[in-house]
Amino acid sequence: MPVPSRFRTLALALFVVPGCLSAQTYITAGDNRLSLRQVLRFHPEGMVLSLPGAQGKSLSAAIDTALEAEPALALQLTGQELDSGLKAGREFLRLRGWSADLPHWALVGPDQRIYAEGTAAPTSTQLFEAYQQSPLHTRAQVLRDFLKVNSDHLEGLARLILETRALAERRTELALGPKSSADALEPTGAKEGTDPTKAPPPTKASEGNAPALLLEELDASIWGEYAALYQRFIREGIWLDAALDGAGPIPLAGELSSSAEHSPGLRALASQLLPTIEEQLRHHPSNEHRWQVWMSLRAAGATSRPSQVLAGLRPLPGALRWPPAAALVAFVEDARQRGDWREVEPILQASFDQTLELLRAMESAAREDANQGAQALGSNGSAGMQVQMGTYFGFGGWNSDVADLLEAKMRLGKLEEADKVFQALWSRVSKPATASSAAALARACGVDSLAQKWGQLAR
Amino acid sequence: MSLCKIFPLLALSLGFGSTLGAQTAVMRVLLDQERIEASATLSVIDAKGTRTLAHGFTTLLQGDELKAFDVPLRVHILGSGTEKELLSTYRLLPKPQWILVARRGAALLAQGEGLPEAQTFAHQLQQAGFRDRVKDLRAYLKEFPRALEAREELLNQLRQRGERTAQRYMGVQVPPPKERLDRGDLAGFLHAQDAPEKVDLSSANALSPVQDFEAWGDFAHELDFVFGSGEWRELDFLWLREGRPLDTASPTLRAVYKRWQPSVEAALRQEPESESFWNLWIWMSQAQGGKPLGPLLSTLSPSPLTPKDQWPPERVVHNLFARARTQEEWRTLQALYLAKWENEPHVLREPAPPRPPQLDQSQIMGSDQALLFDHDWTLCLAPLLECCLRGGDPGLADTYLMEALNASRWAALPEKGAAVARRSGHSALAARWSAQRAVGAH
Repeated sequence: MPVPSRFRTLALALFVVPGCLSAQTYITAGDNRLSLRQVLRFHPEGMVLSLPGAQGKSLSAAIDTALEAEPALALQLTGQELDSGLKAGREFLRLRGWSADLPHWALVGPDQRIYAEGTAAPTSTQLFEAYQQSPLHTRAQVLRDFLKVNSDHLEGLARLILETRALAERRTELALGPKSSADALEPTGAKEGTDPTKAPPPTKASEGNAPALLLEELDASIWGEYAALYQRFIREGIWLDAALDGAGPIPLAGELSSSAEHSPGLRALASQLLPTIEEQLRHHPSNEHRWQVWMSLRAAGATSRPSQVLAGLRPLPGALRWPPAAALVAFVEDARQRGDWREVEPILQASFDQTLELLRAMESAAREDANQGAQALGSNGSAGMQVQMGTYFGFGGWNSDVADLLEAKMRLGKLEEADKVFQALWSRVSKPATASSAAALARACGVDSLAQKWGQLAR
Repeated sequence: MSLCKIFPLLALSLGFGSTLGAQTAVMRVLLDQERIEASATLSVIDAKGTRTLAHGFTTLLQGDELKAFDVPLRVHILGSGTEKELLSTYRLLPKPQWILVARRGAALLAQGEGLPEAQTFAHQLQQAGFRDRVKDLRAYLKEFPRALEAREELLNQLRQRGERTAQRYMGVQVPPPKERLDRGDLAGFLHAQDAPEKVDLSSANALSPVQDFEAWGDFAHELDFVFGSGEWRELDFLWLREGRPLDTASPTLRAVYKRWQPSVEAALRQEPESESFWNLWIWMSQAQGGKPLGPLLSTLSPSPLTPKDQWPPERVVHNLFARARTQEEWRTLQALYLAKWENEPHVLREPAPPRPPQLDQSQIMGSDQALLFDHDWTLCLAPLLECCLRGGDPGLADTYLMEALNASRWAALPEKGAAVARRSGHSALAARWSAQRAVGAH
C-alpha cells in the first residue's frame, strides 16, 4: 500500500475504540473488584505475591531483586504487591488466615495454592529452590512441553521465542553490567536452572564504540536456544505470517533481539539470515513489519543498505511514493549511520508533503462533518462549529518525521529550506515546546543561526 | 488490532466528544489514503430522494466499457451541506450534475448535467489519466511474479469487477461498507468492518454458469493461484472488510472456498489466534451457507499460556456471533461468552464497592460509570443473553440478567435486556425484564 497501514489502523482505532476494548480492561489493578483469581489468571506459571505489613513495611523491592538475580531469574516469575484494603489483597490474607500486621509473601500457583511463604523477603536461591520443589512449571517449560506434542503450533513457537528472548536479554544485561562497565561485571548463570557461580569471565573488552561481546561459551549458554528457535522461525518463513493488524506473538517474535549486537552467535546468525530476509522484503517492500525485521538484523551488525534492497525493483503502477513509505525509517537510520543525508532528504520531503496534503484533506473533511453536524442540530452551517484539526493525529506538529526532515536539510546546509519547513510548522503549532525542540536540534547539528532564531520563539 | 495501539488513541478519540458520531468524511479521507493513487475523483451532486444521477453512474461504471477503471465516486446530496464547498470552489449552480476533478492540483477535468455516454466518459477517464489497472498489474506481475502488493491489488481489482458484473446479472445493488459513509452512517460502516451484513439475495436473478464464470472466473482463478502457491497466508484480503457479500450466489466461488477452506483450517491449527485466518474462514463458511463452528473449535488448541476465556480472540468471537444462524452455533458461542463472563472481571457482575480513598481516578479507564456499564453490556452480557435465548435456554439468560442487575444496579439494564429478549423472540421475558427496577439504581 502506498501509505502505511498505520493510517487505516489509526482511522479504525479512532472510531472503533469502544468496540475494541476488551471488557476485562474495565477493571484495572487498582480496582476493588479485582479478585485474586483474576490477578492469577494470566500466570499459569504462578506468581510471587506480597502484602505490606500494617506499618507499611513492604517486601516488594526485595522480592523484585531476588527475582531479577540468578538463580530465580531463570524462572521469569512476576512479583506483585497487593493491597490489603482491596479485594485481591483480602483474599490473599484469607488463604492462610494471616493477620495484616506483618508483611507477607507467597509463591502462589494459578489454583491459589501456596508453595512457599514468609514474612521476610526470600533470597533468590530460596525462591528458586521452593519453585523446583513445587509442581509449577515456568512459562518457557510449559511451552516446550506443549511444542513436543504440537510441533507445528506456530504461535506456541513464537511465544517460546519471546520467553527465551526475554530471559537471554536480561542475562546479557547482567553479564555486561551497566553500560559495559568492566567494574560492574557480574558472574552469571549458564543454562536455566544450573549453577550460575562457575561462569567464565563474560565479555571481551569493548573497543571504541563497538558493542561489548559475550565470550563464546557464555554466549552459547545464554543465547543458544533462542538462536536455534529464531533460525527456524525465519528459515521456515513463519515470520511472514505476521498478522496483518500486527497483533499476536508472531510479529513480535520476527524481530531479532535488540541485545543481539552483544552476542557473537546472533551476529553471525543475522548475517547468515539477511539474504533470506531481503529476498522476502523485496517481495513486499511496502510492508513495515518486514522492514522492521530487516532493521533488527542490521542492528545486530549485518551489513546492508535499504537502497540495495530495493535495487532493480519498480514502484507498483499508480503508487503514490517510491521508495515505499514503509522504508522511510530504514532510510533515515541508514543516513544517520553513514552521516550522509543526500539520499534520504528528498524521501523525507515527499513524506512531509504527503502528510500535509493528508492534513489539508482531513481539515476539509472535518469542515464537511461539522456542516452536517450543525445541520443536524438545526444551526446555521458551520458558523458556530470550530473546525481545528491542529495537531490531532500527531502529524501536524513536532514529530520525528519533521525532526528528521529538518536534520537532513541542516546537515546538507539547506538552511533556508529548513527554516521554511519550520515556519510552516510554526504557523500551525505555535507552541514554545516546538520551538525549543527545533532549536535543540539545530544546536545538535551545529547550526547556531537557526538555533538562535527558533530558540527566541520558545521564550 | 492490538490494545497497545488503541490505548494512546483513546484520549484522542474522546477529544472528539459529541462530534464523534459525525466524523464520516474524516473517516473516508483516512481510509482512502490506502488506495493506490487514482488520477481523479468523480463527484456527483444529486437531488434528494431519487438520486437518479448517482444510481445512473453506479450502473454506468459497472458496464463493460468502464469496468476496467477504478473510479473513486463521491455522492453529495443537494441541501445536505456537503456539496457547498464543491459548488463554491468550482462556481457551480446548485443543481444535479457531475464533475471529474484531478487528484493532484484539483483541476476540473470534465463536467456535465446528465449521465454521459459510456464511450464518451471512458474517453474522458483516459484523458484524465485512468488506465486499466488489471492490465497494468498483470504486466507488473509478469516482471515481478512474487510481488505481493501487486497480487493483493490484482485480487482486489478482480473482486470489484466481479461484484459489478454479478450485480448487473443478478439485478441487485448491494452497497459495500464504505458506501455507508456517503450516507453518513458511521455506525453501520463500523459494524460492517467487524461482520459484513447478511444480505438477502432470494429475490436476485440466479447466475447462469456462463454469467457466473464471466463475473467471477478471473477472481476465482487468481484465488486458486494464491492458495495453490501458499502466498495467501501473507496477503491482506481487502474484500473481507470492504467487499459486497455476494458469494453465496456463485457456484464458482463456493467451489473455490470448498476446495481451500481445509488449508485455512490447517493454518488455524498452527495459528489459532490469527484474526486474518479466522476472518477468511468465516467468509468462506458464510459463502457456503454456514459451516458448523463446533467441529473446527474441537481441533484447535490455543497456546497454553492463553487463558481459556481469552480464546478465540474477542473480535473473532464477535464476528462469529454477528453471523450465527443456527441453534448449534448459538450454543457454541454461548459457551465462549460464558467463559468470558465467568472468568474475566466485569463491572456489571461485580457488586460496586465503595471506592477506596487512595485509588487514583486515572486507574479506572473513563470516569463515566454508565459508559463502562454500556461497554461491558455490548461486548459481553448482551451477546451472552442473546446466545442463551436463541440457543434455547431462556432460564439461564434470566439468571445472568438478574445477577447483573443486582450487582450493578444499572438503571438502563432492564430495558436493554428487554430489547434483546424481544429481538430474540421472547416477548414474555422481555415484558418481565422491562418491568424490573434496579434497587438503588444509578
